[in-house]
Amino acid sequence: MRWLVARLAWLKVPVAAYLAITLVLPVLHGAAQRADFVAHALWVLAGCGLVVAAALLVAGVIDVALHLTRKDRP
Amino acid sequence: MSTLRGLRGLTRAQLAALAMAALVVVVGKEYYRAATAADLGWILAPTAHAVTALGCGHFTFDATAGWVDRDLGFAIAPACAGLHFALAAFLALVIGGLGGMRDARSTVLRLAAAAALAYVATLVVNTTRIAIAIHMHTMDLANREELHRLEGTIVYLGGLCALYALARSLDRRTHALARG
Repeated sequence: MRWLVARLAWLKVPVAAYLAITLVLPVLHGAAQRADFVAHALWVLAGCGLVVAAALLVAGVIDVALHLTRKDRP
Repeated sequence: MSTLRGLRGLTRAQLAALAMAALVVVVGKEYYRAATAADLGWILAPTAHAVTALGCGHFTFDATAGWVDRDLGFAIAPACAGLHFALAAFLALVIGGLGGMRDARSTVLRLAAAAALAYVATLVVNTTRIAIAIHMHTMDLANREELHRLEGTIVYLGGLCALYALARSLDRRTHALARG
């Protein structure tokens, strides 16, 4: 869990900025009442999930590679 | 690059930068809502030229639809200008750059750098997104509309994360060089 939090920490700013522009501001402007907004929001959230998952995968691969190439490894 | 840890510990310069970023976002959204293809020429035209240069069609200006390739049946409309990405990029770069905003001069410099970086990144990321969308447009896909939406989110957010990571890395190197 700590690993997950550490690897995701830097993503909070770009993800929050993106969600603020694409979802929060339109909701404040009354977009939630539009029928197509829910579908738009679901696609945005699905895309966010995929990008965060990809970032975690890359971080995991880098960590494993660093662990395997560590000089003091027995 | 620092991240926001609450408003109490922020200096006046940092608060002014945040207020400026919020103002740019709100005014930018309002501008985008009513903007025509001609109004957005400063961002649509270079994007359309870049897409054409990549060999993904031949786009010409149409005052109503935006930049159009009639043979492809594809338009780079005002909604495709990427202004939401530009605003998100500016906001993320300002928040991430707050740590380096110590006085009025460094704040103005960082705001200008964030605006310039956001603009260039928008051209690169949006050109990539449209090039992929054109390839998807020529393929025989089911749920094309939904896939186009998902592709947009992935390319935009992926590009935003990459831009933010690049800015963090540049910032760290600049600090390391300044310290000697």
